[in-house]
Amino acid sequence: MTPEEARKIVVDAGKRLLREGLVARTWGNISQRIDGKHIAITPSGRPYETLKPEDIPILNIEDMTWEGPYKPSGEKKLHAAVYAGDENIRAVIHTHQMNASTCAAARKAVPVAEEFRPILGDEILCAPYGLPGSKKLTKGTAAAVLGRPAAFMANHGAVCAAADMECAFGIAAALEKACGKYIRDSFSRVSGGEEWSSDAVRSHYVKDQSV
Amino acid sequence: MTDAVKEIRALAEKGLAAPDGAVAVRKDGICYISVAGADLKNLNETDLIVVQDDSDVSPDVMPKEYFLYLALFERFPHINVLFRTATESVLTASIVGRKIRPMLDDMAQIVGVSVRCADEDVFGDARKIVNATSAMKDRTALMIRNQGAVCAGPTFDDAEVSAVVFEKACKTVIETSFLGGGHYINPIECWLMHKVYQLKYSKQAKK
Repeated sequence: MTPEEARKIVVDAGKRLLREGLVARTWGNISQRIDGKHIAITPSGRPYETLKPEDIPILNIEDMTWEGPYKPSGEKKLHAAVYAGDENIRAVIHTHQMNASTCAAARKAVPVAEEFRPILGDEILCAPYGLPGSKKLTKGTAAAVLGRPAAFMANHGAVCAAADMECAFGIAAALEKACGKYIRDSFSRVSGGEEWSSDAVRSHYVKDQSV
Repeated sequence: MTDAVKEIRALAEKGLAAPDGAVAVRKDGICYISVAGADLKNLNETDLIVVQDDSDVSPDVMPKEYFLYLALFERFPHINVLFRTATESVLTASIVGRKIRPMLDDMAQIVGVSVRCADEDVFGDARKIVNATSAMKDRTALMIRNQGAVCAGPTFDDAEVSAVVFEKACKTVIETSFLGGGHYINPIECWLMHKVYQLKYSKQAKK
């Protein structure tokens, strides 16, 4: 893949992240592998809506040097670590999607319902908490996603890794549905079989917190 | 004020501004507050009270948030937009009435180290208004018991982001309780993230 092709994929994916509600504002980040040593990655703090291919930095994942008009995402080391762990990974997206973020805040490994297992595997692991851009977050997340399509980043969001960008988006969508189902099933269990609805959630939570 | 009217309508259309809430804007040192009972989705310029030193505003048109908003504008010169949100999870959290702390780093960055909850009758009590403004220091939201939260920002975009992120934060706190409980982020790290975000954002805004 040429750097130009990779940059275009990243720009298109950024707009898609916003459209599909997987991030807001400039949060989250995306990268696309070019070759064994280089990736195209979203720049730090630039709005997705106005990104152009020429704005996308190219990062050397071995020595972390980069080229381009804007510096790469603050999570560049995380992306580099995920690519370094598996040569078959060619696209990585880090999202702040709602249901996955809730599971990430619970810092739990989530069992995957049968219908999502062909895409997500049996279980989604949660990487330990670390400050954004920290070594702890990088190492923990790379380990949690190694050999798996997705992982939670404690109190932060999720990371999805795949052979191409389309597949990475498919994983993010499946992850959101699987986490939504896990949350609804958990609600049903703790509320004694209540059906999920806004009123039921409010009523249960208010009652639970008033005790 | 045409742009501000459009922004207020947009907030209402998106379901972020509570239909029974007021919106306030400060522009060129003058405060504009929507009248009591204004239909925010179809707001007109004539639905905005212009607050100036010599204003003689009839109590009939003052929304209940009037004095709280003026106190917040007075205390925080960087805030130019205020509105009350009553989105699903924010409203639930305000019914419970407990302080919300960040379980997700986007709340720590955007909203602050916590969001406190003012009493339901804060609007009509001068002492409670003073306490409520203090409770909003270094934060972009303040819950009002049973009524959602007041969200603030230097611009409409900032106040809107505060409302969106705080709704997500409340939803997370509520839904993790079904999963056995969530983990709060250490307050010192929250403070650090909030300060770093403010610094980064102010640098970007200057560019």
